[in-house]
Amino acid sequence: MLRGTVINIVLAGLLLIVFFFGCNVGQYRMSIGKVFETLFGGGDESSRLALFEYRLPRLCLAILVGLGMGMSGVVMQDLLHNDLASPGTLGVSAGSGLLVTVYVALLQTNNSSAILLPVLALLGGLGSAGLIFLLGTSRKKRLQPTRLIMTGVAMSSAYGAVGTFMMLLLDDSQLEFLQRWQAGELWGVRWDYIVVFAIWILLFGFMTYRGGRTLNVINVGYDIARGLGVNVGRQFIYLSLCAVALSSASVAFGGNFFFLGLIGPHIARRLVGTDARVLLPASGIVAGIIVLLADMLVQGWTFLANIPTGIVISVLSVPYFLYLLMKA
Amino acid sequence: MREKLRRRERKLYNGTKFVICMSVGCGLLLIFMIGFMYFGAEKISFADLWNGLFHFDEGNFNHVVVRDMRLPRLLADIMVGVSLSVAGAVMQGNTKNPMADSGIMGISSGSIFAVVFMMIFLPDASRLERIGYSCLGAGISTMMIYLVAFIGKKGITPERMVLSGMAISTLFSSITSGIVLKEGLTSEMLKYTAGSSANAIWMDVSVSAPFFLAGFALALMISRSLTVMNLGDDVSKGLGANTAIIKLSSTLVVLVLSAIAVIIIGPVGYVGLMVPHIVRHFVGTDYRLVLPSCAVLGALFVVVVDLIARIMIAPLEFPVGILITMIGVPFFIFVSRRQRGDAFGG
Amino acid sequence: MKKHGVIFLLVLCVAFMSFLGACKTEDKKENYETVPILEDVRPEEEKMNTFTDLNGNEVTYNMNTRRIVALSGAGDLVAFGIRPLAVSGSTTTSGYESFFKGVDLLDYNTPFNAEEILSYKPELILVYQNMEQDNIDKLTKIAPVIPLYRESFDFEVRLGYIGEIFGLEENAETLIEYAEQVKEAQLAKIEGMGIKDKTVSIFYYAQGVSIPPTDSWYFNKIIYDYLGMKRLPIAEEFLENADNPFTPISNESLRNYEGDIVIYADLSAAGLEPEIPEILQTNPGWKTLTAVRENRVGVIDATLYTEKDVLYLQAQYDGIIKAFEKATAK
Repeated sequence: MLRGTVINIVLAGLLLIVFFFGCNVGQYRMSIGKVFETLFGGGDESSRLALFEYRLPRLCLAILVGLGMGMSGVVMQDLLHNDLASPGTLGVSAGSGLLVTVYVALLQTNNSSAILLPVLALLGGLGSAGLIFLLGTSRKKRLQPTRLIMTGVAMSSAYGAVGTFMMLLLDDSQLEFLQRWQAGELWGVRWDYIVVFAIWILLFGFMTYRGGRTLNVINVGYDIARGLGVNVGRQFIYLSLCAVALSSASVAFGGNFFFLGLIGPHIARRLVGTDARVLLPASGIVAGIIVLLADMLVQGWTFLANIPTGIVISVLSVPYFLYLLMKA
Repeated sequence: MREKLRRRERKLYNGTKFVICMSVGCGLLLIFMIGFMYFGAEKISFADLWNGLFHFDEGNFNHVVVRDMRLPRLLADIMVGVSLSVAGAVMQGNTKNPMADSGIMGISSGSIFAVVFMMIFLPDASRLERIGYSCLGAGISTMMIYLVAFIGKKGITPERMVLSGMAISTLFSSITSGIVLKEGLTSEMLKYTAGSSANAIWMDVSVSAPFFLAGFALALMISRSLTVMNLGDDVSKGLGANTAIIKLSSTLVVLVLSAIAVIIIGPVGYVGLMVPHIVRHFVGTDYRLVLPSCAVLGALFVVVVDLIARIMIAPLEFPVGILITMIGVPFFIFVSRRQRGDAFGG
Repeated sequence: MKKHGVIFLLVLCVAFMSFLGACKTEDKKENYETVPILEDVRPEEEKMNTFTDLNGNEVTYNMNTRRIVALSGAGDLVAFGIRPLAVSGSTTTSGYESFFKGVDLLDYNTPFNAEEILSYKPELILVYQNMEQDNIDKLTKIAPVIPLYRESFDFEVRLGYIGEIFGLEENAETLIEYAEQVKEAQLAKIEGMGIKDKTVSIFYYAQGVSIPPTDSWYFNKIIYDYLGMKRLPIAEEFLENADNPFTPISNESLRNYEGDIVIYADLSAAGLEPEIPEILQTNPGWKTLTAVRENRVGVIDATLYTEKDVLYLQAQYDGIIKAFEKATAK
């Protein structure tokens, strides 16, 4: 526990360093001195604009998306006792994505209010999680995490097919918006969005964190948890709701970062161990660092101009995932 | 003794069902094949249909429609139907996962990647090159999926197959959409993923036919071993089956047949999931019965759906892949709900 | 074994990344410098002006500024003699190098990277007509933003508007006149070829043969409105249904859509010589067209017609006339 806390503090420090590094990456060139000067209230108008209107919100959004996905991944993996569970593999984020696609296709618009998108994504995610539970479990038998995941993978491909069909109805600009969004792009770079998002993440992050002890017990085994007096069914639903809420908001503002919710917890677990109370923040922070780095690549390297951040994350994390799979 | 008798009875019963299934399937297939040739955007008389097939006159437009448009498309549809459903059945046996399907498992992601690659770098590629590259793409992605699932202590398990398929297809589709977004090809890409056999020509049919026949024959050859293998690795080893060779050849079957389907019709899923399910419901799990029935019913399914796609909004074409998906998704949900008890070896 | 696997995967991943970045197409070299060469005659000193833009918003800006970033209308602006600091959109520079001397192309164009625009320290940002208000607000923080007509086909409106923004009405007059002259010259050519009242069918190929929808492709406007060619009634009918442009025509019925002149629009020429791809040449429906059998299908490079800027007008007409010549050859 103590070790975990220390590592968490170190990780947070690392996040801060990457964050400061991120402040220096972008198409508007500023010296490091100028960035610091601007950060602490000085600087000219242009550098203030670049930093406070474009760079900082982007970086904050990246961290928030990482936090949401990372924590959500931990909850799902602990609840299902399976290292391969995540919002991506369980099809929860694909479900969120589908509902947003349907909304854009039916209303023929790509302007969305700050509240509507996360709510839609949440509904989609909840619906999808419910459907996967309905299809992947049976009353007669015990919960089989593997089956849930396989159902999730298959369901996300079904969502993808339905999404493709909806997209055929769209015109080119909406199509492009949706494609970029589905590939995972940080698009909600506006302070008002970020405030909504941050409150959401803080609220559900806190609620999840409160369930940390329960999560530890459930992770040991359903029966043991029951023996220790935990109302497994109720806690399961409560924690799943939190996880879906966290991932949905991230999907709504940051698009579909498929592997993030899987890689974050994995790396974090290697660092701090399995105690959910230290694992939750650590995983969020690690995922945040990943998104930050990927976004810095896209923003700073014109070679990758116009490529959504999510694609960079996928291409970078698939090899790691495959490595995990080969090792497992 | 009694148990043995009952099993034998059931075997006989399945055999009868198989005969019924095959004869009804073949009959319906024949009827719909004639329907496929007769109906279409242009009206054609039976005399033209007959003459177009047997007394071809190049100057007669109706004959051209019959011989160069409808017939190759019909054959292509049949090949696609057989390939997808046999590949699906073999894959399900091979990986012991009743939900395996070339679309879901991500085999087509490699060929989509190849197609996009060609759109950008080789826009002048000939038809033959196109076929070659999309086969290559499908082949590479299949290899990677199996390789990843194979390396490791546990070897191939259904779960690892699904996950490695998912990872590889995410990798390919990420890169694909990266290129597509960078080059502004979104709508062309979408049209390709919709899937259609409308533009199949004789060359497509004749190029793929030998591979198709070889793949199908190989599938039939290993059908007995597949059945044995499904009883469990220990049992099959006890019976003297060489699991490694069977696994390798069944992978080859899946690869060849899915690649054929992809080059003819594009990335179409769910046929390989639906047809074997229905077939197993009728004839049981003996692959010697399952595979031929899958072939007939798969061909029937694709021919019927493509017939609908052709005449639904004639003289325009409806993308058949979308129609299949629209049938496939609800079916899939229905099946997974019914399967709850016994899927995934649970 | 394990280590090798990891290294292999890493190499693979790096290869894919560089592959993504390397996707760039090359342009062909050709010159269309018949456009009148105009001077930017604005004085250097700052002159603030308040202008009501096409959305009815009032914008106050320095109308003599040289510090312009244009997300749209690059071809119009350089024809005016104005050299923006940077431009984006589907800007064609090859063949027009002298017009784009000192003009940068923005790297990020989906739709823009605010920091990249800021790094040019612009005093005026010109954007496309339908940009969302959100994005306009974002850019307004950098500099005044004026949307330009992008969808309008009318040069008097398009160019007159730009002339008004910069007080370059005379240049606008010259360019409008030039556009009119080019059109007259082409009409005379059409007259000379004796194809004035012929019907023209334009096809494109994307998983099947179809007719390109009116709005997205400028060649439709040029052929059917400026040059006054006719469409087949059956093609009109096809285009009236909004869902159709995504749907291919059945190969069996394709010949019913064939007019006197058949044009193939190559969507993926991307600067290369446009041509009919093999996949279409072997298409059984395509082969039933009379024009195909007589080898008189005109081919145009559709990517040339995405922008309606006056700079490209001559090239666009030339492409069409060339296709007509091929299509009417005996």
